[in-house]
Amino acid sequence: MTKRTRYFILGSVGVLVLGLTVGLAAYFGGIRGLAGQSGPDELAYVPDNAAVVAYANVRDLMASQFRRDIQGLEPASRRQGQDELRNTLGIDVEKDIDYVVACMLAPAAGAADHERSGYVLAHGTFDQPKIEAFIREKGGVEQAYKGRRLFVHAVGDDEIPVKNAAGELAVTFVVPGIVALGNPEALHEVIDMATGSGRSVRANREMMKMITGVDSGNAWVVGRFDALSREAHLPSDVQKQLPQLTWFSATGHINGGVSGAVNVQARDQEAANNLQQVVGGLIALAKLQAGSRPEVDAMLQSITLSGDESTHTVSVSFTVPPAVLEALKAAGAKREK
Amino acid sequence: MPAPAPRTVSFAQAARRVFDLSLGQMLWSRRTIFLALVVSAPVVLGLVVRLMTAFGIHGSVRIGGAAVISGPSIFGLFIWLLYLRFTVPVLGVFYGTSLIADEVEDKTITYLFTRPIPRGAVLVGKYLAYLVATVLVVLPSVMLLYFLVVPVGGGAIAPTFPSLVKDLGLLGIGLAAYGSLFAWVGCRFKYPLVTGLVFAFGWEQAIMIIPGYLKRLTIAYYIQGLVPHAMPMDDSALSILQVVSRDSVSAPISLISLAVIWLTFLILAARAAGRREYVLEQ
Repeated sequence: MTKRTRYFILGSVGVLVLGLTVGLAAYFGGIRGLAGQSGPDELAYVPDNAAVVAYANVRDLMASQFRRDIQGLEPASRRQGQDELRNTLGIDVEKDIDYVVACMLAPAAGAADHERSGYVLAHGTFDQPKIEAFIREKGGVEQAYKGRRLFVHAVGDDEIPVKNAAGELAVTFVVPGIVALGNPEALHEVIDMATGSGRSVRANREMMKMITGVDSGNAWVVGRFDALSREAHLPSDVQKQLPQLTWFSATGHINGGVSGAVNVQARDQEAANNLQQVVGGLIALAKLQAGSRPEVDAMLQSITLSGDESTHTVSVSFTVPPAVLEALKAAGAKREK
Repeated sequence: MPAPAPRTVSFAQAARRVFDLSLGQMLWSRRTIFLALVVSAPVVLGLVVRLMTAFGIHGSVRIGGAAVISGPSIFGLFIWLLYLRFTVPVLGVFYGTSLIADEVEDKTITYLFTRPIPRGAVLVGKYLAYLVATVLVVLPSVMLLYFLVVPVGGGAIAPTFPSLVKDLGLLGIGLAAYGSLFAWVGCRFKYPLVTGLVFAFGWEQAIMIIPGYLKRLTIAYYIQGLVPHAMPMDDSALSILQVVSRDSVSAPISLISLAVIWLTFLILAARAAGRREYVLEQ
């Protein structure tokens, strides 16, 4: 073996050994930067028993062409929800918030299914004294929990889903720049975590694995499938099949158009195969029926279905180009006339 | 005084000597330029993806018609489409079929076969040189690609590292299996390169989309059973056919089948090299 062959072998083996060492160190958490915590920092204030976690980059979404395009199609109730938030808390969703992290908590033992609990963590630029004064002025009641201030306010708007059974919405500043909105009981959990006495979702390996898979989109949601099916009020026949499905996730990148992916993880490969066949059939049926509508057809043609046998996951990815939105808008306007 | 009896060399010793000789020849031959091009293309593409991310346009990266937005997904697609479906078979064809064919073409086979070593050991030694040369070039390129692409779009190294280890192992297995098959093709057929290309890019591609048992007569079918990444699909007719005709094979069966293919064709290649009479054109 010549000298240069020996050097070549040493170089190649060196690259491999170096790469494997770095990867191994990252895998066991030895290199913090490479171990790379997925998701926004606010996940530190989401408890480990969260059933659903969602994220939206409000700044990106508000500035997107997509948002400008669909503004006319938004229901009036959504605008009312934003107005209610501004009138009650003095927070302007469009101007003050950079991004939000929302979570839905698993119902406590013995709690009824309809008793939803959850909250929204908004990261942005907030004038804390001004907002607090505003809430007091509007009748918000100040409470103390573990040395933190919590403002509780009664709201009547159904568009704000994070209030409790008594119709109370609470707000607290977790740290400067992060405000939590939700029912008072759930916000106690946020304060617990902010004061270091609760376990965050980062300790939930399964949930974090799902978040890592969707983290790249500017809006995503991840959750246990049972939480989704409970909220969806599905027919009992469909409900019976759902224990076969364990996790769901959806991610989207919204700018001029929308591109995204929806993933559903099944308990085993047989369930995943069945789901893939059902979804494949539905896509085929939709494509068949959309032939006469070019604007819908373009969107349906972008749908791709794939399966990952190692994780028993079925994925559907899609793209909604700006032209499709234009066509849908035109069709909507025509129907209104 | 009687002449000293020729020193007998065992099969393993002979194969090792041929390996020593062939590894340098293989690494510094003209074919290496081709090898370098094939394995550097994915790394260059990875660099492009990384640059696109740096300029904030990674959301528009599309591979196989589907939008891919996270580093681990892009890396998975690279492994699927560029390495397992192209690089590994193509290196197997070009190197595997030339193990003996090159010596015949250069008319140097006589020098090897007139040595007091088993002919089969020549083939096995050259095969091992092929395997080491390709593994030493392909795996570092995958490693570079991994660290370039996986951090894209917020992807993390830690959770995807087990997949990388599987990928490296899988590429090694693929190179070994394709190499032994095409080594046999190189020893057995008159036009080994054409035969190899037809098998890798004709038979394997076509039969994978036809429902039935025929796909068990491919290597790609068993490799597919071991891939840790999602199979990329779009709405093309080919993808639809692949979904329709797809049946999965478990990882243990895939591994056993690939081991059987590897060993069987290596033995057949060594036997073919030992028995075949090579006539050098004058």
